[in-house]
Amino acid sequence: MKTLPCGRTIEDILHKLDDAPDLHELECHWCHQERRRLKDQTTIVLSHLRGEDHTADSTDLASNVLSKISNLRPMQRTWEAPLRETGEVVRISSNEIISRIRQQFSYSHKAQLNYTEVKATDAKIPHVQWLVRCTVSMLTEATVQQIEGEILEYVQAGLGAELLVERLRVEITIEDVHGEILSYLEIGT
Amino acid sequence: MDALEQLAIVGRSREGDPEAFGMLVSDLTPSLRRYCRSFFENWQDADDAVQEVWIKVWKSMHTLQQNGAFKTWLFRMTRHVCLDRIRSSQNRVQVVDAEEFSGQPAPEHLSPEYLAVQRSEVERAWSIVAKLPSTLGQAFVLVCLEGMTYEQAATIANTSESTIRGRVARARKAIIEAVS
Repeated sequence: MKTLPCGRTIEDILHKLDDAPDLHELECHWCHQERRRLKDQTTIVLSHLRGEDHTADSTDLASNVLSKISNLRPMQRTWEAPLRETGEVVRISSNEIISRIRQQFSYSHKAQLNYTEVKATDAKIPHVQWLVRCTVSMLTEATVQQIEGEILEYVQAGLGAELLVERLRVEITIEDVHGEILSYLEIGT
Repeated sequence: MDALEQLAIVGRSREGDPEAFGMLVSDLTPSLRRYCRSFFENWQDADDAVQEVWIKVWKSMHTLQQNGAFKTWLFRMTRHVCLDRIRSSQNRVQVVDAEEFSGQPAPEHLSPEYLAVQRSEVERAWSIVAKLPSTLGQAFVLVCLEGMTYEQAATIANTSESTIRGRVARARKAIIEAVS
């Protein structure tokens, strides 16, 4: 274990290399110089490890993966539900409903829809009672109340434009830019 | 892809949108390759593991509970796939051979000589990482190469933050000694 003239060891500095220098390090010439040497030497290796010549390999690999995945379509839950106008029972997938809700959200300047989940909550077929779970990020300084109203409106428009909906419960999760949950609320009609 | 955009892409992938999932694959495959490379001694085995990881991820996206946890979840799954492949001895230990790359088309603006030098330096750097004890190499790749926090790396490696901090420091020391 090599010790610097100031009394600190190289291991001390290595352990804290990702942290900001402490008061001693800021004032110590030896520590400052050692920190820079250690950073410089790992930077060279890191730049090689990030080697640009592997970009083409990654692109090829990603293409291979995508072609394999294209044969594995996800399971789609489908529901039987009555049309609002005629009462005719149609079969509709969760993804179709989600796509309609997403289309409504594309008009929003206040919230970004990150994730949606749709399921019928009544056991009886055709289904007229629905639960929609929405995870959103707030885009502006809008209040939760404003977002709440807007989301209910969009979900109603997306789900109820064609389908007969007797009861709707919307569970809203608001997350920050890093995906940490800020708040959770339930609204319904 | 910024953090906000990534949340939406992850969410759409959870819904089963193949286009969104394709964006994740394109964006994160380079990182996954590097992480897998820290488990194996050659790119072929690392790439095989990456393919297996993405297929597993696609099949289990619906089990992800929180969009923000995606990256840690992805790397944890990658670690499990790599360890399983090593355990089941599907991985053959090979010495990295320059000829391995001979079949790959090179971008036109780079001369073969330039690429050869570049690749030998890159492979030398990877051979230094490969000589580290496996857990040190993995911690080094996650924190130093992929820019993860000690907390994220600890979650992925199923250990404590202080253990990761120690592993990264020891990895750095060994790497510095190797290049000095």
